[in-house]
Amino acid sequence: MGSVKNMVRGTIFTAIYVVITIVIPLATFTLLFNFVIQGLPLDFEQQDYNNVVFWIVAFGLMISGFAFFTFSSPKQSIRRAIFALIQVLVNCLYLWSYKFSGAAVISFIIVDFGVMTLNVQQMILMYMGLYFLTIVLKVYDIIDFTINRKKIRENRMKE
Amino acid sequence: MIYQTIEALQILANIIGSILLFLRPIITPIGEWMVGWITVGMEFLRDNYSTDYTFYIIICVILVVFGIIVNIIWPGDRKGSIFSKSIDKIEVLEDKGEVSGEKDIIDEIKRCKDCGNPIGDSEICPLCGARN
Repeated sequence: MGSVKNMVRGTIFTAIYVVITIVIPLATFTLLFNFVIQGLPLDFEQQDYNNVVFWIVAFGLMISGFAFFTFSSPKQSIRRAIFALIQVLVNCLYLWSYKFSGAAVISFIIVDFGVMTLNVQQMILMYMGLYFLTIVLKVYDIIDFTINRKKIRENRMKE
Repeated sequence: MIYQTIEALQILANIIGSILLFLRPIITPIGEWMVGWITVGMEFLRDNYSTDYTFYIIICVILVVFGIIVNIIWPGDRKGSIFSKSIDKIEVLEDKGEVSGEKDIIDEIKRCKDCGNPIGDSEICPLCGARN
């Protein structure tokens, strides 16, 4: 029964990550692409949009795959800690891909009105700082689970 | 702006700002290091795997399939199913072997017909004196 329970948990978290990393950002950017302010459409470059969509889907797929492996693994297991660390690293690339695809500084040309610039670079950098702390925590988890492996296993078998 | 009207939020924002300013000498090198390795990773992916989704789909599928297989073998709450089954079978066989061996030895011992006491090769039981 343990394996079925693990896989159900993994599937649920994969679905959550698909929604968070692919569906919501895609919907947001598509909405922005078709955004109209007071009857005036935004001139959002097609190339930028395609780049953003590509990296969102690409990294979203990878993150979801890693999420399945991570959350389907038993709690406090070494394999869970390792894949959680890899997932965080891929998450960093995912966040940074926003910058590379031009999404950190988004310029909208509102027809017959002017230019509007949305700068989210500081927000992404703040996220990076937080992610560094997460990386440190995940590395600590790996060390902790490795050192206390026997104890964790015994407790898990008792449950 | 909401945070300008609510005083508590403004104080909180000031505290967070102060902490970030204080930690800036530490955070900046960390940020640079993060940006360094992420840039290298992104450049690699952009140069080699930025044309289609095949690479990413393959990784995703491999992870899911690998996750399922690993979970079937090592579910975590007990010993791995495949290996534990074989180990259990071996243990059962060993137990059976031990039990049958003991039974054979017990059956071979000659006992007194009256009291059941082991008498060995002698014809008279040393305990009750009955002739066998």
